[in-house]
Parts: sequence; structure tokens; C-alpha cells
Amino acid sequence: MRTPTPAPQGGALRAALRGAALSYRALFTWFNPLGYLSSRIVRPIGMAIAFTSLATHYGAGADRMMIASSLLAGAGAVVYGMALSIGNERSFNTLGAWLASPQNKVAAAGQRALPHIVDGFVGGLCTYLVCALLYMTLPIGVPQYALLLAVGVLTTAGFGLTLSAVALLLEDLFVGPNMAELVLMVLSGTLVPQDRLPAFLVPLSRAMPLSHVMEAVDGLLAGRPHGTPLLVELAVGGAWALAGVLFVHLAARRATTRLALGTS
Amino acid sequence: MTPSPTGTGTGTGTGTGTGTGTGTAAAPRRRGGRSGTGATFVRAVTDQLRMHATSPMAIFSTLAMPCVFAFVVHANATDGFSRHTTDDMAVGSAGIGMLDSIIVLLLFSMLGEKQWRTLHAALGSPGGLVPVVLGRLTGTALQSVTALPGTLIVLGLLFGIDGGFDWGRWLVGGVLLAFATASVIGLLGFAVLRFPFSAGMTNGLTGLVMALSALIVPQSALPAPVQKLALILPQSHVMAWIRGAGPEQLLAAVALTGFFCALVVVAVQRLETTVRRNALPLEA
Repeated sequence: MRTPTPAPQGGALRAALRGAALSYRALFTWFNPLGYLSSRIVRPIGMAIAFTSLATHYGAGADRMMIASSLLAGAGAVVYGMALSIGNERSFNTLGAWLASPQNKVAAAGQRALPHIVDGFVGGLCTYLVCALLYMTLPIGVPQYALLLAVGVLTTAGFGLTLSAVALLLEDLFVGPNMAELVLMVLSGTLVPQDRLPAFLVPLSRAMPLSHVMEAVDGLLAGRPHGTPLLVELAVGGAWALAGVLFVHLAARRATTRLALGTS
Repeated sequence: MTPSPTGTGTGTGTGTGTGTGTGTAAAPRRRGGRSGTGATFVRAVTDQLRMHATSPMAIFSTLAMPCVFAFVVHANATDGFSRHTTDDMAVGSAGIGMLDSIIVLLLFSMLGEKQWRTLHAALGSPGGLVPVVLGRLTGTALQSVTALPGTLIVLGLLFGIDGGFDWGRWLVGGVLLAFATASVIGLLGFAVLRFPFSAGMTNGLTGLVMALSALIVPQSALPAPVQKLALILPQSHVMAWIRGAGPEQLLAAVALTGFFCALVVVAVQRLETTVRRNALPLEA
């Protein structure tokens, strides 16, 4: 009988990356040429064209909305990807086996988020570049945008962890991410600037991912320093991640009980 | 596969398996004065409404999504534009809900037909697959029309109704928009029937068609290459008419809707031929 030996540090990292890649292949059902192109490229670009045209039509200029809708494209990829990576365990009837396994569920959810964070970054960057070509303008340089996008997808992953908990409990896989996408559209300060929200929604908006990235974008476009909002954004993402850890832990316990009772 | 020579009492392919007695291929039996094809069409419409009218996904698509988009449009409208609900905002927002719900519902319907193995039975009936597909399509269009009053009520409560709201254009344009959208998305129905389904392959349609349909902004506000593409879709002409263009836009919208419907019919008929000649499995 073989006794498990602790993996060396490099080995642990390799194992984590391999697990992330395996989960992506097995659970991300849109990982096929048509599905990926349609979900990750065409949809966000179409949305970005519609919203950027909205801004130009009402005389606001394309710059802010182009960046905002591209950031939202990245965030959307993370939100849907993370929900699929957990919720599809139920669709494939492997939820019971996964819950019964000794794997740390919170760590697993975090591991499964990795490919979607990369995916969100790629999708957000593609959207920005295609819109730049269509509107013949590049509001901010690609490296600056890439930094903002990287922060945005990271903090959205914290938010996505909470949605992973929802995906563990709800039978309809898409309810959580669909609602989350609409909430992000309204409250993240991307499509609707915070100063145009009703006053009672502003505090809620400041607690949403991307809202401080958008503050940094506004600062950048106005030539103001934008470092502090990004730090606040990372803190917001950290808070969402902590909440997500708690929710995933509780949801995994509840899902295990429901499975044991045969109610799910 | 060759068509069933008798075909008596076959299912209509609308998922119920109850059959409508569509008669034989040689001498179609008439029931209640309605042809077999007509009966199949009507059954497909009613099945569509019965099965999906109250699904959470349909309600989400037809109400929640358009209201959020309307909120975004309203928040971005600056001085010089009405801050109340205008007819184009109401129809355009409802149009987003219509688009999303038609895509989702048609996809579910066609995949359901494949899954329930009712397509070969429909193929053996006198009308073939065309009345089933057109019936399902009409059902989704009718169902999506609920977005029109539903969205208006919410928007009216949130922002009030603009004094210059044109009720005639709202109603006629809204209903035409639903059928125009269904005619375009009908091609998706054919694609789902003809080709193996890939998960997520329809997700991009909402974004793409939304941009091309000029639902939330006039066609002139779209980027130049997209403007030209938008002319192909009937929805952009419906929206242009709602925004005050002349009746020629309405005629163009009706003509293009008819064209897309004809395209769907031809595509499905070609599919029938291929299925019969090459024994193409429809339930794959």
C-alpha cells in the first residue's frame, strides 16, 4: 500500500494548474469552437457596440462607454464561467461524488476560477480592441487598459465565488449568473455612472466589483491620479472573496445535507 | 428516410406525442374543416404556448432584461432628450426581451423535438417539418409579445410616459418587431435541427442581433460597417419607423420579414429532402 507523500511546492502548483485545466475542460460546457466564439467573443462585442453607440448617440462620447463595456465583458466571462464550473457538477450528476470527496470545496472553487479569470481577461481585451477598430479610437493605451481589466476580473472573481455558492444550491444553473450580470450592468458604475443612480443605490454600487475600477477610468480620462481607487477595488474584491468563502462553505454543507436526504 | 405512405395518426412532432390525426400522404384527411398542415401548425403554436409561457427563463427574458436595458438607456439620456418613456424606448427595450426570449424558447423547443424523437413522425405527416417549425416560431413570437405591455407598465411606473408617446406606432411596431425577430431567429431553428448542437453556440446572437437591430439607438448611431449590415434585418426598419420614418420603412420591414420566413421554409424543406435522401439522423 502506498502512503501519500506531501508534494513539493512546485509540484503543488503544477497540480493546482492541472486541476484548473481539467475542470475547465470538463465543466465549462461552452469550451467548443462555436460555443466559445459565440459566448466569449461575439456576445460581448455586440453588447459593447450597442452600448458605445448609445453613449455616442446621447453625446457622451465613445471613450468611457467603450472601456466600461469591455470591462463588463471580462467580468461577465468570469461570472458565467465560475457559475458553470460549479453548477455543472449538478448537470452531470457528479455533485454527490464531488461533495463526498475529501477535496476542500472552497479551494476547489478558487482553483476552478483560474481559467475563467484568464478567459475574462482575453475576452475583455478582444472586446476593447475590436471596438477600438470599429470606432477608430483608443481612449487609453492597451497596457493601462490591461491593468484595469486585470484588477477588474480579479475582483469579479471574488464576487463570482459567492455565485458559485448559489450555483451549489439552485437547480437552475443560469438564474444566478443571469441576475448577476444584470446587477453588474446597473450597479457596477460601468453602463450607468454612479452620479446617475438613485441616491439609495450609490452605497450598494460602491460595494460592487468594477465600481472603483470605473472611478479609476474616470480619473484616467480626466487626467487625475487613479492609483487609490484601484487599491480600494482590490479591497472590495477581497471582501467579496471572504464572503464567497463563507457562502461556499455553508452552501456545500447544505447541499451535502440535501443530497443525503435525497431532496436535491 | 422516405415518408410514411400512410402516416395516419402520427405525432405532430410538437413534443406531446398525442398526435392530431393528420391523415395520409395520398389523401389528407380533413378534420373540422382544417387541413392536416394547418392542424399541425396550430397544434405547434398551442404546444409552444402551453409548454413555455410561464417558464422562469421566459419571464426573466421578457421582463427583467428589457427593464434593465431601459434603465441603462434612460440613465444615459442627457438633456435635450425626453426623460420619460418614449415610444421608441418602450419598443426597443421590449425588443431586447423579445429577442432573448425568442432565441431561448426556440432553442428549447427544437432541442426538445430532437430529444423527444418526434421529428421523424412529423416528417411522415403530410405537411412535413415546415408547419412544426413555423408553428413553434409563431408561438414564440406570440409569447414574446407579452414583453411589450409588460415592459411598458414597468417603465411607465419608473419614468412616466412621455406626452408625445405614439400609441399606434408602439402597438403596430411592437407586434411587427416580435414577428420580424422571430423570422430572423427562425434560421437558428433550422441550424439547430440540421447540425449537432454545441453548448453556448447561441449565446452571441443576443448581442449581435441587438446591435444590428438598432433597438436602443438609431441605426445612424451605429459604427459605419455595422450600419450597412443593419439594413439587412427587418428589425432595424421597424425601429426606424417607430422613430418617425415614413411608411416605406414599414413596408421594407414587412417585406424583409416575409423574405426571412421564406428563407426558413426553403431551408427546412431542403433539410427534409436531405433527411429523406441521406437518412440523416434528426435526433442526433
